Amino acid sequence: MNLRAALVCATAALLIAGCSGQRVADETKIADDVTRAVYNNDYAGTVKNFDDTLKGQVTRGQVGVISDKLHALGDYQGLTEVKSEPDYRRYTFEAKLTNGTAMVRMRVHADGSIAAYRVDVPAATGLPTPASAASAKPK
Amino acid sequence: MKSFKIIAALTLAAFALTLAPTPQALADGAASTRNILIGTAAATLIIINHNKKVHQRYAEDAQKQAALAEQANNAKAAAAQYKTAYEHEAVVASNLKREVALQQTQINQLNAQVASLNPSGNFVSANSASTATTSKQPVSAKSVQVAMVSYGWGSF
Repeated sequence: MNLRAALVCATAALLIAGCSGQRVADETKIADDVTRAVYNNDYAGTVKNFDDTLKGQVTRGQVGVISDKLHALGDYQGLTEVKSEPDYRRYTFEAKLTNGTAMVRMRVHADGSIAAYRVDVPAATGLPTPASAASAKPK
Repeated sequence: MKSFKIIAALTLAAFALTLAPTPQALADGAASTRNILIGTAAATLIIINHNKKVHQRYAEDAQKQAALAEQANNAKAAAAQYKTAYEHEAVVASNLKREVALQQTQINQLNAQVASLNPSGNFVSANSASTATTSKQPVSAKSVQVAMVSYGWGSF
């Protein structure tokens, strides 16, 4: 009996852990897909997962502006999740580029469509990015 | 020159004495001659001193006039310098006005560009700071705030 209970608990724990990992992977993949589309100045790819309200706000020029900002930081190398607020379905990612980083913030609906998507870049070229500023050691 | 003046003065004095009424001879001839010589010498000294004072005054006046003329010239030159400086400052002010007008034009153009990019009002926004540390990073990492600009759509 004890063995059976232990097996049930272990299975449940594995399922929960698997579901949790899948959730992170899904959101990360969605954010990565959108960010790659924005980086490549791909309007259709950018709005593919946006909800209808958000699709109505996006223009090709705006996608181009963000693409330019990201290109100023170098080649896009992917992103990793650094903060999540599951209760609000808000997630923050750090996008790595060859010459710096950008912060990607995203809010999704329960069905997985994107309700908000923003990219935060350093205010001016040459300013240290959050990651590089943190890693810089005083001499 | 000096002797000529003395001779002339003596001559004038002698001529004046001839015009004067003849006094009664109350003294002898020697005393009369002595008195005449003394008076003549005194008159000569008076004339010489007078000429000296007159020339000194002329020199002083000339010096004053020269000084005044010099001051006037200086004032004129200073006025010219002031005018030149003012003209230069006016040119500088004019250039600054043009520069400010150009900058205002550029600001207006940039504002128009931002407005065209931001029809819904939140595409571009200043994200005052973004922290380097996050919930998944080590606590020992120092929090560094960097000025960020946020681009995107929707609100959180």
